[in-house]
Amino acid sequence: MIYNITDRVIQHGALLDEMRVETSGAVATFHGIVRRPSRGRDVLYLEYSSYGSMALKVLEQIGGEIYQNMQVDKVLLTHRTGRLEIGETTILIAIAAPHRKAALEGCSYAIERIKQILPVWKKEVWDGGEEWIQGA
Amino acid sequence: MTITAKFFANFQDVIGTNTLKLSFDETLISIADLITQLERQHPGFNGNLEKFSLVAVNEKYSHRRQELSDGDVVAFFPPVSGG
Repeated sequence: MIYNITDRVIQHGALLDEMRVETSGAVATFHGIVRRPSRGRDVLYLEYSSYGSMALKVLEQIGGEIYQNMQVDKVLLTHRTGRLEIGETTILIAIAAPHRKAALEGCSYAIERIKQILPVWKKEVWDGGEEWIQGA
Repeated sequence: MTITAKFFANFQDVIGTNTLKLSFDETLISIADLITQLERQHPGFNGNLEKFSLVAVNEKYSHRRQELSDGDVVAFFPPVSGG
C-alpha cells in the first residue's frame, strides 16, 4: 500500500509503475484534476489545506476497509496540498486487483470515502475573491 | 487540565491561528462545553462551530458528548472538501 499527503507534484508515472504486481490483472485509477469553471466562476487556482497527521491515518483506514472488503492486491491513495494550478492533479487513486471488477469498485469506494471523511479542505481563488468550499 | 484546540479552513481564519492552548479548572469538560466557551470567547464563529463543525479528539472523529482528558488534542473543522 502507498498512502501520501503531499505538497509536491504527484508523479503519476512512477507511482503507477509500482502498482504493477504479478498477481494483478487490472489496475483502476482515478485522477482528480483542477478545473477552471466552478460554481459559475473561472477559478484561478486552488489551495488545499489538510490536518496532515490525521489525514494520513484516515487514508490508512480507507485503505484498510478496501483490503478487508474487496479482493485487491495493492492500494494507492495520495492527495495533494498547497497551491494547485488549473490542470494539476489533486488526487491519485489506484487499485490493483486480480480482476477488473474489484479494481473498479475499490477505486470508486476510495474516492467516495475520501469525499466523506478525509480532513482536507479546498479553497477556490478567483479574480476578486476566494472561498473555502465545504462538504463538496 | 490543559487542552490543545486546533482549527482548520474557515475556522482557522476566524481566530487567526490554528492552535490554542486552553486551561480549565474543571477536571471534566465535554466537547459541547468547550464549543460553548469558544463561541463565547470568539464571536466571529457566529454559531458555526456549534452548528457545522466536525470534531476529532487525538486525530479520531468524535462527538459532542465526549468528555475530554488532560492533554487531549481537539480539532474543529468544517465539512471536508478533498478529492
